[in-house]
Amino acid sequence: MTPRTMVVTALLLGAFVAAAGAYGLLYCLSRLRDRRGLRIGSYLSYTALSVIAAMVIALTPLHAGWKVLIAASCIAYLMIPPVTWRYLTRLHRGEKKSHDPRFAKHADRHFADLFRRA
Amino acid sequence: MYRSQRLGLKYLTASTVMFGAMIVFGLLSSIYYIQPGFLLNIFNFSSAKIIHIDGLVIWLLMGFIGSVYWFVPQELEREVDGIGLAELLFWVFCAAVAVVVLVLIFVQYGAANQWSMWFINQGRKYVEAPRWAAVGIVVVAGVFAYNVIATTVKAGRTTGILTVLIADLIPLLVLYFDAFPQLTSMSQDLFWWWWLVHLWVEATWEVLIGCIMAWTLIHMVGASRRVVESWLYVQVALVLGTGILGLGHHYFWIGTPRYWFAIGGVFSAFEPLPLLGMVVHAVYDAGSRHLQAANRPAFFWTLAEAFGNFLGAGVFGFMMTLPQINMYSHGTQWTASHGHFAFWGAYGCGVIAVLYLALEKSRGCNGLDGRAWKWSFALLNLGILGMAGALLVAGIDQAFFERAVGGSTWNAYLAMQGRPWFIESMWARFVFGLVFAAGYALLVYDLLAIGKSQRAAVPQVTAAAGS
Amino acid sequence: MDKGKLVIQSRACIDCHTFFGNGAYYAPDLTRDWLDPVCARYAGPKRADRLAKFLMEPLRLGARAMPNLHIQRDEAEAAVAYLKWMSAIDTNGFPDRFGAPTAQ
Repeated sequence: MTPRTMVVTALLLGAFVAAAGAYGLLYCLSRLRDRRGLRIGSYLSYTALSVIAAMVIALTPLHAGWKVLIAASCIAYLMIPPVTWRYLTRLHRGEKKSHDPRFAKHADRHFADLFRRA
Repeated sequence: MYRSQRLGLKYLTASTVMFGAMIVFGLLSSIYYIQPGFLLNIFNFSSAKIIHIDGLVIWLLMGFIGSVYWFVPQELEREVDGIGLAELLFWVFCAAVAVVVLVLIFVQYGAANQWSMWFINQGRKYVEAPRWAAVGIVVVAGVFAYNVIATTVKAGRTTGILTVLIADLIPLLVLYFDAFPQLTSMSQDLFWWWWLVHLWVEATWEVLIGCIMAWTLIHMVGASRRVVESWLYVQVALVLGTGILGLGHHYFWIGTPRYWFAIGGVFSAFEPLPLLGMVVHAVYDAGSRHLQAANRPAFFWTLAEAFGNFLGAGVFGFMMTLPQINMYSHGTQWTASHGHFAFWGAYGCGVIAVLYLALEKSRGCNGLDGRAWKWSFALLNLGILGMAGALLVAGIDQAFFERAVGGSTWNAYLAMQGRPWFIESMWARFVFGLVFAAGYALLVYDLLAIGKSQRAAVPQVTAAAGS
Repeated sequence: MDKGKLVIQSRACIDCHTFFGNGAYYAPDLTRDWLDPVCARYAGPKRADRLAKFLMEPLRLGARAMPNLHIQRDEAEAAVAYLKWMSAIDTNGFPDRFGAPTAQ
């Protein structure tokens, strides 16, 4: 691996996880706010993640095993936000009303919205 | 307030003081890079750095201990067992820390003999404190574990969070015994040393902060115990599932077999996955409450914990974890960049969240808000971002020029230290360190002042832990 | 070797230098210190002697100066012997292409 390739590979790997984070964040926000812009943002973030993964696989001299790991991570990062979201909404479905009366009304209404959309 | 909670407040106060000491010696450490020959033979870089990194461990440990003493009596609705001894040991702990720091400042090092190991400096990173102090820490931690376990046993019941905490405290304590050995082989020394350091910060401490954050959510926003505990189990499983064998990413270059490349690389590549889950959970919780919470500083510091953990530990860690990259990034400022950001995100933010929560309750307030905490929040996070960014630039420069191009020789190292980007990065790190310090000063001001003018207009509503 | 390690610990060398890349980044990595081109041009006994003298009375090298840690002759010799031993440990190639600068 040349020095230049090493730095580029490292930056791509960091960008890969950062894109995963952006995707997760925007996915959640789009579920909360139900806004088209946020949904598109989440798709774009995941597209960026996939492009970065493809670049790592195609352009870097990493061994095949590591490239398989990146590809597998791609799939894992795709699934984590929706699976986690579904798990959380299901958990909260049976939740008693919030015990903080200062925000119970707020939370109740919002949780109801979340369950409807889940 | 329970006695244990008063003790918790004392520990959280001491933690804040140590946080400040860590910052002072961190700023000092950064000056050596930009002022050649600074305090040479008077107070060397190594002495400043030791107090900086050991201060990091102590302030976070005190924060964890204080948090647990704060939450446990509420959890079991009874006073903590053995609280008298714990109160005494708090002062012993503080005195011991003070003595160790004074010896590290005024004596600094000794001759190559056991006296130095026992009373001056053990010279192993993060656990430089002399052996007598390490014994003291074992005693304090042992009594702390006893307090938690005995209280639970005598209460005749437990909770999910407590069970996880107790299960975590035992390996956490046992791992600390690596602070004692003095193995001749550096390979063996580092092999076992990493059991302590990695299995603390990337395993047992993660579980510990998970428990503390679980309690924080319950008491801060009235989160359902069932939800919080279910989530805690999932996170603990994922964090330990990836973190324990992720230890292997420290075994690439210390003289251990090559199979650690595969084990360490693969498992540490999985480590960001649960952190993304935490981000999802944080956004869910925050969004479902429209970013509203009565205790706004605690709420936002809890959010910062999730994001900081993901960015500092996840993104910055993944960048350098594969052995092909780590070969060059290892032993450079790149590591320092990741380390600063990860520790802050994973642990620092969490302890500050508990500080605000404890203050709200102890001052009898019905929520907390203000302006100072927002500025402190902004400055501290901007400061850490700036420092991590500056160290990243310096580290990549080092990995490229000193290691990959230069062949990692003395001359390559020294030439690197004089490169313009490196020097500018060191100045930037210092400046952002000042920003961070300003944030800390505001934090202290706010912690002293916040809520004192507010008193509950109605009887205080406690967010009961529904089960 | 025991004494050498004790010297390294008593002076907290790892809080300025790195060993196998672990430590502080204020001073050079010492994994292959014994084989560094700066001192490798000297034959064994002379190399050991020069390194020991450096430890006892450190020089300023460029912008970075090593402090005088009051290392005695026997301690210096033990530390140098330890570094010599350490340089032979198989570290899976770390640091990569030691001593051989490459093109960018």
